[in-house]
Amino acid sequence: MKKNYQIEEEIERTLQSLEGIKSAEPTPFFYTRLQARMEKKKQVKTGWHWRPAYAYAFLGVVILLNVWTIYQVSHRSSNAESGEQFANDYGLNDFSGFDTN
Amino acid sequence: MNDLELLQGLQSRQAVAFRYLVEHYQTKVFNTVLAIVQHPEEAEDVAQEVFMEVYESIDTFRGEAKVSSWIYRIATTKALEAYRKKKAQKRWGGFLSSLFGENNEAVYEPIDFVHPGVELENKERASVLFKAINQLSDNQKIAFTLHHVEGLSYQEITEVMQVSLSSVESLMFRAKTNLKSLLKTYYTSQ
Repeated sequence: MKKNYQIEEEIERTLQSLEGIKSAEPTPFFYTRLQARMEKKKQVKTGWHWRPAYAYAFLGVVILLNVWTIYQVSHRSSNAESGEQFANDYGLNDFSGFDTN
Repeated sequence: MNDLELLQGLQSRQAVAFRYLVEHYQTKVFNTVLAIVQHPEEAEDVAQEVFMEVYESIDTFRGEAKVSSWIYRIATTKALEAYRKKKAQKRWGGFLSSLFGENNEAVYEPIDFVHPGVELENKERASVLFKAINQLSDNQKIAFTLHHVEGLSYQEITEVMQVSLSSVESLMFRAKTNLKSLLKTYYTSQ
């Protein structure tokens, strides 16, 4: 078991252990490696799927599909409405004539 | 090349300006990052990220601070992020090994960090000190390492951390007090 003054001495010596510290240097060719990494990142970002032309074309296809779907749905409901109107006009909705009682 | 010329060169994407910046600051950035992440390979990785960030965000730099202060600020921020990420991974790794490892023992043990610039006779003590530094709060850690490892003055630290001189003095005082307390616990148990 260390005595108090010994512990205090250890603490002081440890706190002073960074005195005279020299700068740590990165490994050689740091700039070359950095350039290579930046180039790699640039290539990933400029891959074909990142090009604006492809992005806009894809967006255009999505919008066209949406417009076509909306048109189909509204066209179907208007067909259904006109069919109902036709049936009403010619009394085709009246099934009383087929009463089996 | 002065700060203004360097800034203009960087903003006009001149390769020569960027190369000058990297070669001039690589040791400062690496040394700062290493003191926080305490792992040479990881420090180099983070140092590269610092320069990539500088390159990408140079247009947002208004020149209200010195280029060096701005770079130190990015370096400390990135280093702390990397340190937190590593700590979280260790915790997760420890949790997984406690679930699946043998004898419920944590497999992942932190390796003692020895700063390559420390004098030979101080290596063991410095390793103990770096372990204690790891337990300081982020701001205390930044202030302490910038002053004691990177050799920045208190005034320079105010520019990096964007705080007042009295705040830096307070951070340094609290860092030393906490370190003394942590070292006392360590040496008492020895």
